[in-house]
Amino acid sequence: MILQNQTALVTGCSGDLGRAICRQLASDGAQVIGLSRRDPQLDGITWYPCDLASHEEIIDTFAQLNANIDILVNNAAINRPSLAASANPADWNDTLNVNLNAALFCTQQVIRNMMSQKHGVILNISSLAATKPLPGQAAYAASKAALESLTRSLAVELAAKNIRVNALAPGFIHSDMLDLLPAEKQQALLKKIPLARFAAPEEIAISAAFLVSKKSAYITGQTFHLDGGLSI
Amino acid sequence: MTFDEILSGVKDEIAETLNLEKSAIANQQLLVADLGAESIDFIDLTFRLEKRFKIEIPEGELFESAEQPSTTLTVNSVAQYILDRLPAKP
Repeated sequence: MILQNQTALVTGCSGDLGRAICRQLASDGAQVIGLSRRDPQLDGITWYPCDLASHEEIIDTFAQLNANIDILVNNAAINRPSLAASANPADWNDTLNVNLNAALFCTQQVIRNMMSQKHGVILNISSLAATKPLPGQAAYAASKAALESLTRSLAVELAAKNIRVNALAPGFIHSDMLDLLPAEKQQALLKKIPLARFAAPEEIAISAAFLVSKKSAYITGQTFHLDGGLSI
Repeated sequence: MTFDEILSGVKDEIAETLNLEKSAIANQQLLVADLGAESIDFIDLTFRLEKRFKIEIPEGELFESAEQPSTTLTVNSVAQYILDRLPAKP
């Protein structure tokens, strides 16, 4: 199995995509650690509660891990819908704290050991919204665009230590949240997607597994769009 | 721990950080100008020294201080820093 003897840590492991990524990495042989506020109730992974909006809690949680992390997937994200013109400062800051700052702080926690091992992989989960935001997504979109920029900065800074950093930018994924949209809204979205369907979380997870494996050993600093052609 | 033991340990960690042969590292060599250390290497080396010598090196104290800017740091001065911060034996 391609991720045999590797330890992967996935943030935001309790959502549909986080759970799919955890399952995929585990099936590829990795020991998987998940961080989230809610217990994902997922067999085969070790879960730690962590409020990723808190820098102190991130530090405390990583101090408990007693594990050498080979792979970090920064997947945790929140979305507080609001037009930019009326964005609430607390919601804006919370969004940036979880979606961007937590990715940096988790990265800072793992690179000590990755440098020591002289290898490591970091995957940041971005979004189509980073480049094609819908109205009301300003905070989410800004955080994801910044996350993609951070991906490039980290790739450049950590390459000399054989640590690769990439991002995935999914489009619309089948999820409980998407299912809440009225049928006509879902249809309207589907018409915009060249492949005329939403992604399954597992499809995103397979690409995530590729990017954290040796199969992508020459790829770093890139953002991959998985959106059925929506970003074309 | 004697200064020579510390110096040997420091050279081990510098060799690992910069992918150099330990035998090629001389005591008076400058980390930046002579050994090619870059900013990311200072972060890596700090982690390694903390782990090896079981000390805490406050951020910016060893490698980015106004008193001892990174460009003037030698292998010897890193070892001296470690010696000064190791707990004294009773």
